[in-house]
Amino acid sequence: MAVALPESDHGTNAPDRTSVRSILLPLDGTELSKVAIPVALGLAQLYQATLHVIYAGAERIAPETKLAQLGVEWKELPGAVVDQAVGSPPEAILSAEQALPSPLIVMCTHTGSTPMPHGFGSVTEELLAKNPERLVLVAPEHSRATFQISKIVLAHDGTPAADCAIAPTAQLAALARASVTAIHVAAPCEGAPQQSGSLPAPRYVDQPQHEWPSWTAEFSARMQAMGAPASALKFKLLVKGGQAGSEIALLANKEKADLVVMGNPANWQCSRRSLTRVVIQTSGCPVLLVCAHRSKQSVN
Amino acid sequence: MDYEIDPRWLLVEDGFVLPREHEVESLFTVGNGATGTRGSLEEGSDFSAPATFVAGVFLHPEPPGAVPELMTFPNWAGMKVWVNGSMLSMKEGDVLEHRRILDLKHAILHREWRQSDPNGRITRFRSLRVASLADRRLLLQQVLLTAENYCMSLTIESSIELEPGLELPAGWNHESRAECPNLFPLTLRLSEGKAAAEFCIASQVLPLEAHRVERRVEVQARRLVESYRIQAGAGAQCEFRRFVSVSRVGGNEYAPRAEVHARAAVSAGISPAVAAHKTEWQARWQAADVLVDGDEPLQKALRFTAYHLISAGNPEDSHSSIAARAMTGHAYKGHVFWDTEIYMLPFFTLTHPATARALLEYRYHTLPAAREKACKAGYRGAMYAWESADTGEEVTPAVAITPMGEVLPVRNGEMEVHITADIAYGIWQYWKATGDDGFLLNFGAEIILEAARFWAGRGNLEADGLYHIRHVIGPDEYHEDVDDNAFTNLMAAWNLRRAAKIASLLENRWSDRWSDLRDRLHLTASEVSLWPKLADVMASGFNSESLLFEQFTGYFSKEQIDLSKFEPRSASVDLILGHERVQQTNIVKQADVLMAIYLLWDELRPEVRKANFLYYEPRTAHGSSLSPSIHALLAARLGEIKLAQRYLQQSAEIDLSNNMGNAAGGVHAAAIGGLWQAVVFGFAGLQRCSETVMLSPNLLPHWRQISFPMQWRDNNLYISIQHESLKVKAAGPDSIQVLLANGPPLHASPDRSYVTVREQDGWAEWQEN
Repeated sequence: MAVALPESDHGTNAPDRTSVRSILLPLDGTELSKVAIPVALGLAQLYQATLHVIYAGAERIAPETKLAQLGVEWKELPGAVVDQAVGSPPEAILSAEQALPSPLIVMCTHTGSTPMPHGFGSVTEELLAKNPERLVLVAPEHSRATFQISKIVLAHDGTPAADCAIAPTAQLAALARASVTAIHVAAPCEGAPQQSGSLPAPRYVDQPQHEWPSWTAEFSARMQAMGAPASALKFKLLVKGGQAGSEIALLANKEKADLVVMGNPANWQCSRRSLTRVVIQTSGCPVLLVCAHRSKQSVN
Repeated sequence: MDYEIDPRWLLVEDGFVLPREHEVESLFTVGNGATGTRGSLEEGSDFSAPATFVAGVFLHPEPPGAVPELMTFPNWAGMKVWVNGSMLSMKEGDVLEHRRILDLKHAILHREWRQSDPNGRITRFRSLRVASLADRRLLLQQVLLTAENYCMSLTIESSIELEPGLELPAGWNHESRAECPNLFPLTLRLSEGKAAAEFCIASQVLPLEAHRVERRVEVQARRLVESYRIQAGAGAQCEFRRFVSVSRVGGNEYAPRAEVHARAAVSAGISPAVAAHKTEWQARWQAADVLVDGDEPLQKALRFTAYHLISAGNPEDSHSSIAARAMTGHAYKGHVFWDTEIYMLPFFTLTHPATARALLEYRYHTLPAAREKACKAGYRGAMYAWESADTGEEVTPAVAITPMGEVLPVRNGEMEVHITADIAYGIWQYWKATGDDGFLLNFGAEIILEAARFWAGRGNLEADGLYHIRHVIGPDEYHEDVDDNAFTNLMAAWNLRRAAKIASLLENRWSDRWSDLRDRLHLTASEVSLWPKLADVMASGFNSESLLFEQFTGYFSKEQIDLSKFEPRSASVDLILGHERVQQTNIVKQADVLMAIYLLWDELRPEVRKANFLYYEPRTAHGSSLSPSIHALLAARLGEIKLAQRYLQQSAEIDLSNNMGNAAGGVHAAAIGGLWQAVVFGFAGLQRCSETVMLSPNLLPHWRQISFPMQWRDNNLYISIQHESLKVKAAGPDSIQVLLANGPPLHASPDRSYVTVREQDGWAEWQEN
């Protein structure tokens, strides 16, 4: 008898999103593309991962001249592997992502002087549409000389799709000894999520003295079951009312967060797109997007 | 292990969605009023919260400010299975089939699971779990394991942590117990050393074919472990059975002792026990099953409702009551609220009066604590706790710590005083429906009188000539510390009048009892005569021009907020706007004035009911799960059918929707009680009049028929309503009168059926069917 296990990438064959062995740093020779370098270096160090500089061009260039063309000195990228692909940049980045072990892409949101109206460059847009598994986007205005993580904001909308961000957050927090503030935003004019197993902010708070501790415990327990930080780490849950994107960004700025982590909807064209854009553009720090893979199991 | 095949009787969870597990455990709880066991997976998961609760057994934590909570008992239904040394788990290998089925008809939790381990060994696991309704001390589990394609080599292990307070009998030595089954008699002691519960776990493996079975019992570092190693041929099946006897020690008689009881249960076998359990449930369904033809989701929700209410009540125990989440989860700590009397009690009153009586007797047994609370607050009479546990003392937590970073003082225990009138109301309704004079004389009257005495002191007769009750919280808990909350004052007035009526009734009909009560309570004629006078001048906020009750003094001047601007909305409005902000607005948390309209329906003119519904309904945010059902009920009664349908659906989905996580902490016992009331009192339009019942149906267009049984004063009625006809079947010792809105009354003789059909302006004369 065949049976479908609805949305059961939990606890069975879920992909391991915690370890990172390859950091992919796409550069295109512009100054803007270089704002991602400190972040890539910091993450490579944290994960003990290999840094891969990716450049896509029409022709192959010798590695020794490539860095110079990209406007980067070798001192800036110690130990980095310099990769080159022929073809369009998004395809090159994605094929490198697929070829390299446990990859994480780190890049600037746009490198052209005139980004598209919503603030992202065309490469970023195309990449997002293809759902890379893990992608750190750095807005140029949030560039820093060095990148260290001591505070992480984890955005969680209560749906199982957002769970994919939990374990990577936990691992980063453990590696960096960072504190984690998980934020859940209850937005007006937003109906109940459709996904089975969701836990949005409660609609019914019969008795706050019971409902909130109970809901908080449930939310935290779910996060812990999905790999949230162990109790030794500083972890707190915050619930806010308002517009999700701006509340997440507000918290990240208020807490001077070093990184925001959030699940990226499998379908980039969905309504969460604008929320994600707001967070990336206004959080004041890089944003790690973890793709919510939806592996529906059907077995005989 | 067969179960009911009609899907309308089944709650099914296919597959396994880890984040939903706590919800599923709550929904699939098996209970019998004495115990509740969450429907956790036997082997557990990364997100399991197994728990068994025993009614009335509370842990009283030491730290100041901590409040009692229902204790969690050892996980009697847990077990691990090893297949050739590898643990049987959904995480290892492939899940070929996994389904949990709660057979609501027979109150049996089934599980069907086929798992292929990483080496291709396929094991079939089938289990059932029962909290016996025939013998409330008995819990049963049966597991059938089949080695489908390999030579059986299984180890079954279960263990119990002997945590502080949980102990085996002195001198108990497992090595001296070579008997089969394994029997573990355990006592749970509270910190002060007092025994709280006794239980005995007995388990056995039954080789159905030629098996080699090795049994082992060990006590390792305060962990009691029993294991069975089973070897047999390919395709073999083995059966694991567990019988658990559990009972609270203290308030009630307990005999025989747990070990004797468990041993007898083992000896009798599982089939007779399950059969007896099914028979009890059959009887309960005959008295409680509401049928809705033409609405399958609602039908299932109604059965889910009745299942959990029946599972929560215990007519044999008058020392505990049904908590906000019954015994299905940890939330609300097992505390008892007004939910019981206002939302759940009507179901029991009309379907199983013995359980209703036991619930009300709990309030009698906690009357001393209510008196003490009143006394401490400077009042006479009885002031019931907003939250109550085993003793009836106030156990409302002092603060609410929210994930919004707020620490809110909780003043409900001090101010949400309407619960005292709510309890009195429940008693009156019970007595009216059952005619249980013995209860009224021995328990109920005293509570109503003491409650009235409290109300006579809680307010003040002020210069305007009105009796004001200040500094209260009504059901609309968004507005705290208000004056003259309409619900509170109307219910208080009702309580005062009813107490005076009862005093008069007792004096005239049961003078001995009245003398006894009057002397014991030091009641004077002047005190009793004051009560209706105070009721008559109670400030109610009623405006005779607008026909509106002002919810509390100053409500009408609050900032007006259009709630529709926040729709669609899945979060509570106080979260979106903020706690402080909501208090400044006219947003109502839940039925408040409208709750009074419902409860005091007969005392209010139709135009008053309608005007208040139309005014307050759009201003109510339904921030409580108690709200949608009452709005469905009122909308149905008032003919607002579209609204009624919307609220009914919202009410039915509170626990059963799978995308809100509502039930993770337990089933909303009051909300499901409200759903039952919405259908029976709203859509069927049943009203409990002074001596009889009245029907005023308003069916949803897509329903073909609703029918339901009910008890009224030792008589059984079975009512079937279609759009164009209405049938009543009576059974019992007496003739019974049934009134019909816009129709002729029926004098139904015992064991006769009657029918009437709709006419242009009402209903035709009744015909014997």
